[in-house]
Amino acid sequence: MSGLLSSSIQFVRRCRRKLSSRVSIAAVLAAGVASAGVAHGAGTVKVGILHSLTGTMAISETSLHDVELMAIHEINAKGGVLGKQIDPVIVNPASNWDLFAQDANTLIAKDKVKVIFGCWTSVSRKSVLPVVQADHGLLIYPVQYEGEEYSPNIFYMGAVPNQQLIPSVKYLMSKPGGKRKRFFLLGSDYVFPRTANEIMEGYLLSHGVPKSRIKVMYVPLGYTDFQTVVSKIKAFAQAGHACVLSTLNGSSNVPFYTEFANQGLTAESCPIMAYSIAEDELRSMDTTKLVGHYACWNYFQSLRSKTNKKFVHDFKMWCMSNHLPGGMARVTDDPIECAYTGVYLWAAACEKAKSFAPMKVAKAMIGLKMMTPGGMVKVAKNHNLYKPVYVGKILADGQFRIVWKSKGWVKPVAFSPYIKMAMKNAPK
Amino acid sequence: MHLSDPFVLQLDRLSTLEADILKFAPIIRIVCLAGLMTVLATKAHAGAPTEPVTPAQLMTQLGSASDAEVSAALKQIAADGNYHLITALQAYQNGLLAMRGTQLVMYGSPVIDPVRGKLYPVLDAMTGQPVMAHGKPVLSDSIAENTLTVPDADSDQLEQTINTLSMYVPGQSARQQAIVALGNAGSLAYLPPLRQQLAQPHSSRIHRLLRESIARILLRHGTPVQKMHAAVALGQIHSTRGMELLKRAWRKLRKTPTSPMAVAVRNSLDQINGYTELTNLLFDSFAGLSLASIYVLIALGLAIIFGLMGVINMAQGEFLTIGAFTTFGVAEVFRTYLPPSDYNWYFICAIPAAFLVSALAGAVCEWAIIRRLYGRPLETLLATFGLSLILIELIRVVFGNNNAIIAPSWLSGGLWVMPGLIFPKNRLFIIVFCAGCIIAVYALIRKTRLGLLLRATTQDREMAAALGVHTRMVDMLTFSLGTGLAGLAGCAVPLFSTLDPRMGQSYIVESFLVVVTGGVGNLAGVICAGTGLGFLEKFIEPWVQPVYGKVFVLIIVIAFLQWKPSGLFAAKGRSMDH
Repeated sequence: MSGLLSSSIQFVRRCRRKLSSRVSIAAVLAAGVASAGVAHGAGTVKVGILHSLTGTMAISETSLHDVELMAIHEINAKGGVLGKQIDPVIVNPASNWDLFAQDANTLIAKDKVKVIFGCWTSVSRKSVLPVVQADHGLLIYPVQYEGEEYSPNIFYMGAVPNQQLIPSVKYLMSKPGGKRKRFFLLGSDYVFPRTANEIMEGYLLSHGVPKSRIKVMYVPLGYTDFQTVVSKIKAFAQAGHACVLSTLNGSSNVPFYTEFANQGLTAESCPIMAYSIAEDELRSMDTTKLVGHYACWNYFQSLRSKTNKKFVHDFKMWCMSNHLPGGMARVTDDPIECAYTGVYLWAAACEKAKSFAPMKVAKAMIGLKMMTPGGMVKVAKNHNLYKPVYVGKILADGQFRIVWKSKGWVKPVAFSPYIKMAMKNAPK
Repeated sequence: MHLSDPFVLQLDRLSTLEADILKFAPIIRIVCLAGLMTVLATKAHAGAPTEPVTPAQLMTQLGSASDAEVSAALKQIAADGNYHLITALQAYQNGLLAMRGTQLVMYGSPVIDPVRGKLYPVLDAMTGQPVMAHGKPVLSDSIAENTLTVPDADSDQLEQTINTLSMYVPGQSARQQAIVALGNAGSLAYLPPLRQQLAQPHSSRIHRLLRESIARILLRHGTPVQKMHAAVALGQIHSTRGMELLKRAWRKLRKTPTSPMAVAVRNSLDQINGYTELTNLLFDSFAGLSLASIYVLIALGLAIIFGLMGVINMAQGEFLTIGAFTTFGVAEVFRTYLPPSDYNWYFICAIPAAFLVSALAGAVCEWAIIRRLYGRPLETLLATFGLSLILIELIRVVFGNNNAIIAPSWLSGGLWVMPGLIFPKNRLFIIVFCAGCIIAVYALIRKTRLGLLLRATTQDREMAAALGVHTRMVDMLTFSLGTGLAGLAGCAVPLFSTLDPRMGQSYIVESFLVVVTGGVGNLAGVICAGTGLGFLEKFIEPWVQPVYGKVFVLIIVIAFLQWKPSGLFAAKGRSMDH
């Protein structure tokens, strides 16, 4: 029965995909007609937007799709790139990683897009990677990830482990972070948490934390009953100076924090540092249970720069004027800011290269500097960004109070030196 | 000052309260004497032995250039237990405390002014109120140069003072946390204030925590005799917080297992382990029961529908989602139109609302889809599956992806049962709620006319129809009842889980598992199977990683179904024959 079910799921998703791509083509056509008046008659340049608008990942990816369209709209309003208006081709891979590869292929081969903005999960990126490499395309990937990857055809806007995981652990070990000595590494069971935990464990071991004070645990994706897990954390935290490093993903977070609070654990006695919770996720959570816990990112909506204030305001207005769900109540967060930055960096690189040819643009990207809502960034040779790091404490209104920030840029190290360390210390 | 008397008094009270520690009373006496002398010395230093020093004077003394004066002031502040000074001391620690003329002020967190940029509000250090000038709160462009700096020699003492003061903050939980934190910090400096607190009348929980923290500090830093008594005390109060220290002590003593200290440590460890096993067993049973309640609640409706109509309702999970979003709607109405004090009662209104809305949606679906596919199980299955996808996306379009319900405060937090054992209130509620639903469903089926018709139709549809039962009507009502029950489950699920359009999907597999294991369509089977699966999962999980817990449960269920293919209770109705 399950075979029948899954094939029918696929069937339905494909139908939905065709339907929605038709809808989006219509939308793009309409947008094209509307923008034709603005264009200088120099034609358009096509770009692909590859985010899941339905299925499990829609909850996160829809916002990226929204902000990328906003960035394109802004750039078009200022006259476009190299005098051409940007024409977005939107496809919906419906949270199905097979479809990510197929759609990327269609976008490059059939729609002739010059760049793809897209993906969220690492598995979707990994499935698009061979496609963009074979078709000489360009992918701008907007989310923090586990590193351990390089492709001449992909640029990574999000943090690599040493720009998120390591600084946050350092903070927890420091005096303002509470001199934590015991670390409970809890993650959903897939590639990012597995790699992230390996890196953090390696880091902790190499910084004098004995193995007995580190505990690693994984729960299945979508897991919701955290009673036993939390009672284990409680036992682990009894000796004091404990903290949780959480790479839990998606719908597991609400039940976890609720159970955590209800079993009597607090942010003072055992804070949770989360790597997958940002402002957008906090909208769907009862924040009374989360106040005082931490998250570490390269951007928070509460950053006080002028660039950021304008960005936050523009995004809210964009959501409201386009009647997107949430309207003015929508918030910005790290991946949203990265997706926004990605579009602008690509446009700047095109201007610098005076061409849309993906490989020329890729060359021009290296060394590019830009003021973004999160602060100044620079594209590194390894296709990641030099960027600042912030640790924030969750407030009752679903925003963050920034309690620590890095001194200037943190250089991206895509291949972590701590992975080998964890392997070496692994029980044989 | 009044401090010398409690110190003497304390020894008397100690004798009744803490027999173990009394044995090293001479040491305490020395410590107390030393403390007394320092206090006296401090007073001599402050130069006003007869007149009480005001907190403001003490705080001003922090600006003194002499390390010793600062230290003396801190000691006095800690001894006074004036917790109102915590904020000012933290400001002092962060270099935000300064003299403004004769007034001691601190700088608050900066606000942004569109014209002047970053501005720091100037607050009175003693009251925390903004300092006013010309009727307006004073805002400073920068932090003054003349902030009081903490002498390096006193920075540890400052932190200790802040920690000690937090023990005096009113409120059970704040005080408990502070006492535990002092035990965690494990410094000898905290011993006198903890002992002073121990001498005061306190609730048994606080008293236990005080003893625990004192023993934890002594086990680390005390004399051999003190260590020994601390180890015994930790065992007596079943202190899980002391486990780590005891284990560490044991590792050092392993080579001499017959020494009195080693025996004491070993015994305490055994005592604590025994106690932890007990609390774990109780907690796992509770967790199993609460998970079982959720499973039963969700599977109940599914079982009724399948039992009567033979319809496998793939959209059952989405009726749960409908119930959850109805609850969300009710909560939003309460939040928008009623005063915040009434918000807590939304849940009571949401229960019938969730049932009715889901039941109505169920009736519409039955009339529009299921009725037309009667007797074609495969098509029905596909149609309900399609329906589930439509409902998910419909809810997404209407409500969007990110919504949250704040659980009523009477269902937040936990019920303290015994040291180390807390039952979360939302879980307790689910258990009671589920029991209520089971009783209601049984009453409906056994005691009402509708129940009679329902049973008749389930057992023999043709015969019931021949006797004049409007079976189509019964079908519709039953389907509504089944979906309404899913709605009730949906009302309860957001108490501990996510509210999102796909939430129903995560429960559909479990509820099918329960229905199939229980014997398709049998309510008693659903209850037994749900309970069994819940307990099985929660008793396997402590031994393996959660990732494998589910795998083991599924393997056991498969093995069980090989042995008993029709589940715990085989269905008796004739509808099964077709």
